[in-house]
Amino acid sequence: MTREELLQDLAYARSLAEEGRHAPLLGGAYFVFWGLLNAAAFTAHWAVRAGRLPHLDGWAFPTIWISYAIVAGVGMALLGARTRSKPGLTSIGVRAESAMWMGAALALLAISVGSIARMVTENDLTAPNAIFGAAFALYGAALFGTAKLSQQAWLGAYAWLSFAIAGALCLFANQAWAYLGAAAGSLIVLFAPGVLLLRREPSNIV
Amino acid sequence: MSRFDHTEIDDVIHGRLRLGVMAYLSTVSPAPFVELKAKVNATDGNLSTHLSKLEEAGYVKIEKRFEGKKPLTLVHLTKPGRAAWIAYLDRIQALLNAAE
Repeated sequence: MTREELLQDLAYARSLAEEGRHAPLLGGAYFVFWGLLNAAAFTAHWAVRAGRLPHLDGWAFPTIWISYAIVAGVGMALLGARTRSKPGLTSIGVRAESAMWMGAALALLAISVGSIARMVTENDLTAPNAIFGAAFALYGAALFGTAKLSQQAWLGAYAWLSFAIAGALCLFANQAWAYLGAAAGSLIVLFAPGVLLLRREPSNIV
Repeated sequence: MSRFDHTEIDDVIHGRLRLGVMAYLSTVSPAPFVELKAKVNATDGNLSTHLSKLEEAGYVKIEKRFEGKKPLTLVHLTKPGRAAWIAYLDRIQALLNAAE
């Protein structure tokens, strides 16, 4: 075996390791789904608060958010089935992406449960307004971590946008129009990068 | 032209195809058999033969299961496999350094 042959073998091994290291992220469909679902729910919430949709004797908000939870559950089940057939599912970047978003989702669930519990027990109707600001901060953290760990630097810009939106939503949390802002924010920091990720996603084994 | 003593290199890893398998599994593990086959450009039979050698050495673990109604074969890089891969790279590096 010569040095040149060995170098060729190492170059081949390196190229395969690099393929795995830089495997495309598979979260695009999830980003698009959550971006659209959040935008729809936030817009509906704004419409009820602004009097554009009927209040339904206080049932409008539960109707919106229970419908949201049902659609989210069904959507996640369908997306899970779709993603399982994709190559690179266990690559480092995809595992990092999955872990970051799972962590963010659990944190958001904790904040949502706590805020709704406060609304019910303390009769504080503004309590749920704390959720969307926190949500965008968590989206930003997950986007930031995903960008760093998967070496997809362009995603980092969406993290900073998400942080900015989180700050603005915390500042204007009790304004009805802030929900419209959150809807637009969802399209900007979830839907838009989701479309970009989908374009890079492998359709099958390559 | 430099000559190397190939007995210093882990023969289980150092076939072109097995090298590719180990390199890919070092960043994607477990990898589905069909994905691995496409990445290293091998036939079913050829890849199976080489995976058997790696499995005998304890470097990979083959898991067969069903995803819904579809059979799915996953290839895992084991802890000893990762250690052997790192040791292999260290050995190659040392050989190359010595040859310079």
